[in-house]
Amino acid sequence: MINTKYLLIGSGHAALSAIDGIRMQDENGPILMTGAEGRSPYSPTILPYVIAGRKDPSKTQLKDEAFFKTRKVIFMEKDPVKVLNSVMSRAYLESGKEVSYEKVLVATGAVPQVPSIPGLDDCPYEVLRTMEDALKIREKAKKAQSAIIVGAGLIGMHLAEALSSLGLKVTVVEALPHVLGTYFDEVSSQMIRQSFEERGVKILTGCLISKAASGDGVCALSLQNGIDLSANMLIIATGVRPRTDILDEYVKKDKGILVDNFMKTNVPNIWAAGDVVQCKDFFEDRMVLNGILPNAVQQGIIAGRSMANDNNVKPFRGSIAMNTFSFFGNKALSIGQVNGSDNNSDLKEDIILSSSSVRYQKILYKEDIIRGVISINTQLDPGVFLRLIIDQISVHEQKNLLGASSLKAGRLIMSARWR
Amino acid sequence: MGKAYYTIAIQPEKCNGCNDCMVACAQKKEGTTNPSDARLSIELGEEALAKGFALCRQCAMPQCVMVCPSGALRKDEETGIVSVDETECVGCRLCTLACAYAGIALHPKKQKAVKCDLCGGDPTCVKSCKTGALSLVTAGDLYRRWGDLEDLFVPGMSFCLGCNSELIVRHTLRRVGSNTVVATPPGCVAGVGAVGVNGFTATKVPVFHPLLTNTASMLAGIKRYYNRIGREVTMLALAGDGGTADVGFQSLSGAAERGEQIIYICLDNEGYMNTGAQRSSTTPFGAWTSTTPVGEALKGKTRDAKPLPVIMVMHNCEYVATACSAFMEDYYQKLEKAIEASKKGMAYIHVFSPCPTGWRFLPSKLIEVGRKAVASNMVPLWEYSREGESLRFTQPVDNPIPVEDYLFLIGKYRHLSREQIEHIQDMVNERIRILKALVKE
Ligand SMILES: Cc1cc2nc3c(=O)[nH]c(=O)nc-3n(C[C@H](O)[C@H](O)[C@H](O)COP(=O)(O)OP(=O)(O)OC[C@H]3O[C@@H](n4cnc5c(N)ncnc54)[C@H](O)[C@@H]3O)c2cc1C
Repeated sequence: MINTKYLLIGSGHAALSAIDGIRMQDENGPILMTGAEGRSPYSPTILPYVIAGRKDPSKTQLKDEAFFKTRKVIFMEKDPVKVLNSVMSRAYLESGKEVSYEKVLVATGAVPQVPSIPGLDDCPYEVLRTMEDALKIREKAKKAQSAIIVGAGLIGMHLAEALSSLGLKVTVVEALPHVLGTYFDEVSSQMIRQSFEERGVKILTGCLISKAASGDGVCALSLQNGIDLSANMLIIATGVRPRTDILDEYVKKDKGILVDNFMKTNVPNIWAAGDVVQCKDFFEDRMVLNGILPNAVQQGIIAGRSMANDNNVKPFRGSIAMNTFSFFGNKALSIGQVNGSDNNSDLKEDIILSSSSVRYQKILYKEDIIRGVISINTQLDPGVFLRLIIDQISVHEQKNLLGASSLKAGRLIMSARWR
Repeated sequence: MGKAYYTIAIQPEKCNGCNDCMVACAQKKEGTTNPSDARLSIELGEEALAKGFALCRQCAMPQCVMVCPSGALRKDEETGIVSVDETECVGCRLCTLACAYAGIALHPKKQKAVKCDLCGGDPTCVKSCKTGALSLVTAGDLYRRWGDLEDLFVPGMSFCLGCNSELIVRHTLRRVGSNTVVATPPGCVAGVGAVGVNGFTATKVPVFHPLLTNTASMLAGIKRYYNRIGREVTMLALAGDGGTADVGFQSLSGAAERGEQIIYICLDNEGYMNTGAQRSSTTPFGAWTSTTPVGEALKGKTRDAKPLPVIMVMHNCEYVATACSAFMEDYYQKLEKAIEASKKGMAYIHVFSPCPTGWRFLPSKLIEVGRKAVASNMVPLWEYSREGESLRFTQPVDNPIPVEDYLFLIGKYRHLSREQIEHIQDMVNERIRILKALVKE
């Protein structure tokens, strides 16, 4: 039996951030971190770059040995937890070891959500979550000429660019009417789509799949609208779901592990953070999933500090959708609410659109407070706008400047608040 | 962990928008003279003081590093510098989303994150800044730098729990240093043992115990003796408000008028606290003390506090300032100037010194009391130097909080009526008006 004060399950961004959170307050309390994959910690976000050949897979490690040494963390790289017994405060590992902990953080991330499509189970399809997935896709892509990607979310679109840059003919199939619908409005989404199409990526939106089949090194999809597609590779990128399988029934879950704003679950000595949790939304009173990296980091820090009884830890401010998205040298950004001015009359938009080039910006206001931003190739500081949204700063007088000269206006408003 | 690292600090009021820093940075980092190539940016807004900064703070817990999926960013645990390994950056820009200071951006040509790396520890922008708006400091710098200096008071003096004066005198003597003669007249500092118990003093420098009436003149005499024998020694008075504004005022006024080369620190806890919390001339209007009790007839003090620091400005002092322990950096900067000024004449610093015991508030609220005193303009922080010929607010308050937000933190004001609060608010407004009239634009 191994005894520890803090047990961190998972070795992704959330668990790594929790280490720093704990060590802010508790310099010496024993920390044990378990990973599942036998690798140095890496980020799932890097995987599309690995596939595209833009990142050497052997150089993806987020932290080196010195990191764990100076923070006095024992990291067991390949010792996944099988079951967490919340009553006994014990973790049973796949390897047969047992860990008795005072406090535990569940940061197991998420797994790909695969839709039920008749025939899919018999197809050699791929998903992308782990390094192993990425290496497999990369190997296969070397021999393939074509690929179908199901899902035009962030992962699907990243993959589409990566594979087309490797010379594959790529087709993306999406059920919703737009690509990247969670992050971009119709205009910007169309702009992104066009860039992909100009480079030969075929995009089919509003399409449901009726069945899948395979044979002869080819996967075939039949769409409900009658179109048939086939390619050497089939990749499913239709979203993720929290990886909650190690938890017993005493830990409250809905779609993810339910946590309060200090990342505490209903069990007093269990915390959870990152893609595995379902937590408060920033704008509305509801519990949401939002598997993005910045959230995992924020939540990890808060969880760590809370676990170490830090009295000064500020509660999580709620989940905000946000992302940066680069495509073929273009830079897109989305933060907060980006849709809704039509059906929600108290939201107002301030739009800059250039028809000749790939350039678009929209700032969404509720009265004098920014609720969301979309930017494609316009100049602004993403982090400054995020802060303006989070702090709900009234920008009444600077509204005009914010639209026209976003970089400068954002900096002026932020700097005035620092003193 | 727990280490203090270097960072570039900006004092916006000193920046004149000359762009020298940006040009110097662009030259060093990109070989151009185009300010937009620089890794810091200062933009001027329309109003005189409005400036927009974009500059890395080399954060203690850098969010850019924590969100980097590529392992391309790291904070050096030795130097604290946050830097980008360009070969490992994939240009995903998550770091730019994580930074609220606009301290990291994508290089337009390379498509890699670039940021300030403090030029390895000797930033060229700071060197190029002629106005002193940019400076290289460490986070938590003061406590570390002064922490490294010897505490010239011994441990175990019998200050009350949470005493502000203990904080101030220890830090003050650390900075002023061992080449000092200290005078502590009767008052809290002497009372807790600074001047000696059983033949041992509590300071590691010469200290003496003047009368309540003659601190400034005794120090002046010692200084003149040292001057005569050709030794440069600093004279430091650590006195309370009674020994300064009331009983000791005559000798202080005389010494200031004669331009005696001494540093005089008044620890103003607004009364005679070590003898049982009696009123002094700096006790504010309305405050309870044991000689201005609250009962049927009387509701605390009926007169306003004597504005001693302003009076000292009119005394030919070389340097006069107010200070508060909630703004330590500000205090240290003022101490520095006081040390220099005392080589020419009198330097006087009036330190606001909230007293948990005598004013009745929890020791844990000490810093909050200080902050709110400043935020409400009860205790405006400013400095005056004869050389600069002007008074300057060092922590200007744009939108002061109502005085009652400060007053109701403290037991000695708990009884105040609406009229009394209004009186205090009016007095505060009036004093700010007078101070502002002394500011030369
Ligand atoms: C292809 C791809 C692209 C992405 N792009 C972006 C992007 O551009 N922007 C963005 O914000 N987010 C992006 N994300 C999401 C982002 O990577 C996640 O939000 C983030 O990694 C979540 O961190 P986490 O620590 O919660 O989970 P993870 O980083 O997934 O870490 C969980 C870890 O737990 C381990 N684990 C699981 N079960 C166990 C067990 N039983 N015992 C021990 N260890 C276990 C796993 O092996 C894994 O290492 C992307 C994700 C993918 C897959």
